[in-house]
Amino acid sequence: MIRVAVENITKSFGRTTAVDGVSLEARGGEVFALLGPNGAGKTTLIRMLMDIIKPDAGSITFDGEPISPVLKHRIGYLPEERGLYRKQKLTEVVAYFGRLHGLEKEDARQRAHEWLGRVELAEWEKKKVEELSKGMQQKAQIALTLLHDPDLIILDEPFSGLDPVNVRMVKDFIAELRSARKTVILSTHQMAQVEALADRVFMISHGRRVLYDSLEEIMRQHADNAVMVNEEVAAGGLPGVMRVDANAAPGRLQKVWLEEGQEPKGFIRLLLERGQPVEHYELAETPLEDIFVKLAREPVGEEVAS
Amino acid sequence: MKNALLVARHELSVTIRRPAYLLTIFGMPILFGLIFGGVGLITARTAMKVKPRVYAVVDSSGVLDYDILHQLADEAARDSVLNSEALTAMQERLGALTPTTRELSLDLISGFRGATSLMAMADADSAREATRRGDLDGAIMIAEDYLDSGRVWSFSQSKSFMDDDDGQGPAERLLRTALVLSLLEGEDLQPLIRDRILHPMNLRTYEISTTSAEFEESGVASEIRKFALPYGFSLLLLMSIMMGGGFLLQGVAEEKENRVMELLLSSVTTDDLMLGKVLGLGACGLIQVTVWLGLGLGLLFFLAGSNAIPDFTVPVDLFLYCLGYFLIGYFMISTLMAGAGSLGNTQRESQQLSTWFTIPIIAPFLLMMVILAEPNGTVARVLTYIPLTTPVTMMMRLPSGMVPGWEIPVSFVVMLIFTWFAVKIGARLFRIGSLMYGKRPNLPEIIKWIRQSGR
Repeated sequence: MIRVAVENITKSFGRTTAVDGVSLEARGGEVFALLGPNGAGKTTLIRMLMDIIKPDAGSITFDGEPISPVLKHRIGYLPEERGLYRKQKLTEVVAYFGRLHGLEKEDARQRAHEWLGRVELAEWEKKKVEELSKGMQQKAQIALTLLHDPDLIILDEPFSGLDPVNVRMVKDFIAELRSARKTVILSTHQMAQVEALADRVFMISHGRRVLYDSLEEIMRQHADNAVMVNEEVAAGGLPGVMRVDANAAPGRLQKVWLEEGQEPKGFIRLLLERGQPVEHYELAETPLEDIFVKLAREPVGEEVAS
Repeated sequence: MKNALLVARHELSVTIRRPAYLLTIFGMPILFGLIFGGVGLITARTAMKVKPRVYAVVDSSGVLDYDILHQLADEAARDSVLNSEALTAMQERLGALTPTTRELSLDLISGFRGATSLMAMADADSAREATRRGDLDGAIMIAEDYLDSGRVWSFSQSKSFMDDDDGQGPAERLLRTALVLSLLEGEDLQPLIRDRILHPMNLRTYEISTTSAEFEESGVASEIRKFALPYGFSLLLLMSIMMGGGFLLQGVAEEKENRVMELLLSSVTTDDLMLGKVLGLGACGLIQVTVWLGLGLGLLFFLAGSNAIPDFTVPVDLFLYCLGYFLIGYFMISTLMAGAGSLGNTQRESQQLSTWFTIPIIAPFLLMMVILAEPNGTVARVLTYIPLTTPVTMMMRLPSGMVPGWEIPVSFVVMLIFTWFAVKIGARLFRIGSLMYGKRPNLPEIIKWIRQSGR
């Protein structure tokens, strides 16, 4: 469990400002989702967390301390740009990274064996990395990220190249890490995974923070005042209705936007009173994807939420 | 530091197990052996077919004693061009291997012994005619009035056989000695005076050092003593840099190509990673060069025994200076190579960038003649203070004994300062370059990176 505190960091490359005055905090026992469109500054932010590049201004602390070699051994980092030594044996590569994270030789070998078993690569241990499929290499990379039992885990696109079975496996690992009170920073473009896993969400766009709150709060704040009803319901023209989704495909639910002040509870009462054939009635949720797209399209990021 | 050593050990153990590495380390000597063996064999076969050269001598003056001439010619035929003892020793060792090598070695050795013989002929015209037909290699005529004029004519198909590259061919030497002996015959001379007339000077030359009170005899041994060490170290430096630097470049570029770099940097600092690589892959280069040297020396000892190596002692200070230049030079260039390796996207791109560093290292070799001729000349001095050319230039200048004492510490300081910068610059390039993909940077961009990452 490590508390990560980023305060007002800025990083420019030449004239472009990749990260512009960003602050955030991630705590133990939570999955902290880091979102942002391509080129928004996510990778730069993560690389600054990992001390691979240094911020021009601002500070990054881990439990109040700046980064140190000892602390790095407590971090597991899966970068987006990743690969393995192609010509070497799988166990050797995995154990080597374990050693670089401060494990003793025998311990590193033992854990490499265990972890390759956990990601179902036991049979491939003695094979050269280049003989493995892309998905297998991804799993091996996840194994070497978690091998040394880190307290802070930074995963950049951990699901890319994995089939649904393996996606489930990685999700289970993440859930396990959370229940072990570890700090997990997850960066991904797969919004469904964020909805399923994240406790809190941070979004960066054009180098600035545009979203930073708990997932529930974000979903609540961005939710439209709308309901989903079965297509047989003729909601158009009823009092309190702002607009009806005209594009609903036959057999699918239609979305009905309510006027401000019109409670969904009152609206279903109205529908029943009017004898509408209501078979399905639920509050419409705005998928995180829609929130993401909306925020990413805004010209220069002004903080919207909270 | 612990991580740097870990990286070094890993790089070393992975590289030395690579088939390409093993192939180079053991394949190259075999290849060289085959080439030189083949060349040697062909040379020996050709040399064997060379007939002894035969010249006719027609003496019209009656001064020349033919018995003396024949005796001298026989002696000359028995002596080989090379030291016969060393040849016999080599033959015995080779012969002990297999019957085939025994036969080959016999061919080889007799090939070296192309002898010259002189035979007396009475008639000048028939001697000239025989030379024209090719039965004889040449004809020498001693004039009737030899005692008065000293005139001797020589006839041959090609350039005068009397001369060879030294200005004195074996035939001329033989005839000269035979004439002197014939003239002295019957004269009542003290034996010592006779000896002095035959060998007027038994010359030994010495070289005086400008920096110490010592002086030493010139000759092959002193030349070896003076130049073998610096030259050997220069060559060793060049080879190690080519080999070790090559591995380094390859290793860094490969990590970049395979996208391993960022994973590595999450647990190791760039400085540790670079240091580890320079040490580990540098060691691979050194091992390779050492194996080659060992094999070469081993072969030499096997063939010729210990007497093949001239007996000389190595001046300790020169050895230490060379070692210093070697180690610092190697470290300096390796760091730059690692930096260059991180700039390219592929191994080939990185290789091209590295020529910036390899050319300055080779430069003193190209200018070797100039440096050796004028160890304190402008060229030598300028090259001494250009950091990349310092090690090889100084190693070439030092043996002359003419380099002012202060230049040694100053050149070391120059190199150390530059090495410090090289480590900084190399590490910066490495830090940025290793994570940048896409277009290969041009020089202004590289400079911009170096300045930016300093912040």
